[in-house]
Amino acid sequence: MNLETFFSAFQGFEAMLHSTPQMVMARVGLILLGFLLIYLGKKGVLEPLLMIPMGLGMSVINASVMVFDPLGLHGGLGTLFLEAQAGAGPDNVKNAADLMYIMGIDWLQPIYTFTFSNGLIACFVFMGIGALLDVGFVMARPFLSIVLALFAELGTIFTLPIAQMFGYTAKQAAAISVVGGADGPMVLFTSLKLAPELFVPIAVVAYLYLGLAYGGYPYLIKFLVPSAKIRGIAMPADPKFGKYNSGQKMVFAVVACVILCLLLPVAAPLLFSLFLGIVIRESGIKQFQDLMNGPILYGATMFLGMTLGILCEATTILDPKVLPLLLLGMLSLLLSGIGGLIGGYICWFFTKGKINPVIGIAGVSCVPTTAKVAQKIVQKDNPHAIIMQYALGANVMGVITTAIIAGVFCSIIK
Amino acid sequence: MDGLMISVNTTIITIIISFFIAIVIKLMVVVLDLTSKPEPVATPEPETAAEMDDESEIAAVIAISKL
Repeated sequence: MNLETFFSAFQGFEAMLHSTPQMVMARVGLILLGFLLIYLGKKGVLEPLLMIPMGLGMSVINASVMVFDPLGLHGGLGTLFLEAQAGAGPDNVKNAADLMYIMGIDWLQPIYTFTFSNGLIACFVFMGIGALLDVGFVMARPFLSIVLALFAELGTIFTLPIAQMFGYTAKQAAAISVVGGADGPMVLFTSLKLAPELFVPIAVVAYLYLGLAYGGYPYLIKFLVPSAKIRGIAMPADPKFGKYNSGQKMVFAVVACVILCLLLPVAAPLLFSLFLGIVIRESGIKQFQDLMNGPILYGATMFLGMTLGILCEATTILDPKVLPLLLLGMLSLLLSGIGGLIGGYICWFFTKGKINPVIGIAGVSCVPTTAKVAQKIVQKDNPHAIIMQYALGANVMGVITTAIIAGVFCSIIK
Repeated sequence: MDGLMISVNTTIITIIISFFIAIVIKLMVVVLDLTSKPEPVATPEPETAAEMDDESEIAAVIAISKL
């Protein structure tokens, strides 16, 4: 019995024998990275809700490659999980046949095709996020929130021309730059609308970095706001924060939703989903609230993390198109964080030190992660300082400005 | 279209729409403040007690009727 016959009994090893040494090393590296993500998620350094299913998905998909490629897309190797490229060719009839065929083989293909490819999972996450948002903070301080949110879009605006310098088309560059908005569902949505061919790598890069932002932004804050005295500025509780009742918040949400959909019909599915969550939160219908806060939000987040991990197969990550994306995604989020803190400093300056500049980071609309990061940092330097309400206002407005930018990109880039 | 031009145009449109939204929010808040009814006065203690009495009376009647 020769070595090849022996290894054919163990299909994972057989696939390794059929791969190049670089690919084998990349697979082993990604398996280990998956372990690291799970560990950091468990320790709370990275967002556990996303990182634990994503890390396991990443490790497992790179261990589950075997000699199996029914559509002939990957040089004879494949998995039984999903085929992201199924149905992506130019021939519609062949695409439909391939998709139906692969759906009968790959167990996650129906979830990917019917929830990822059309943005449904992004809408589900937005419904759940909406059900957690209190728009009272935005109603109390709309101008402060909007200024911080606009500054925190620095990465989105600046990354677009930089991405074009890397050879991406205007549509692809716009889809990449939306990573700077730090709004996962919006990134999925924009890449599907503008650059479906880059959907998988952009989605993977975006969520990987959004998880890392949870661990990385505290260092950025400490670097750009070095004074512990400024970081610990206590902001007085604004009586307006608790002033609005649920009926008023509902009226606000309904009118704002209709106006935004009127202005930006391309982003209407996401805007509707977000405001539906807000309206249900304020409606007092407990059954719907429980549905949005529980099964929809956490079910969608789990499948999102798991599917993104499974999309991190070595062939996807080693695609030459993905490497610049890793750099651009990080640059975009870094610039947005810097922009948010610049906005915070400007508000601090004009209010003569009453506004804590750290809340600027919450303009980066990773709800509610960046608001939590801001509160955590401030509380370390001043245990009595509560800035969460202001930070959440900027956070909610950040979602709206990212939706506006995504809508503008989809409208003006033809 | 050139990436820089797209960025400039997007920034201008986003600032306009964002401030429009902020103004709409501010106007809505003013209108809501003007049109909202004053907070209902808390129900005095004796009335609550009476209600509780009514409910307990009904519960007692149901309990008796089941006997």
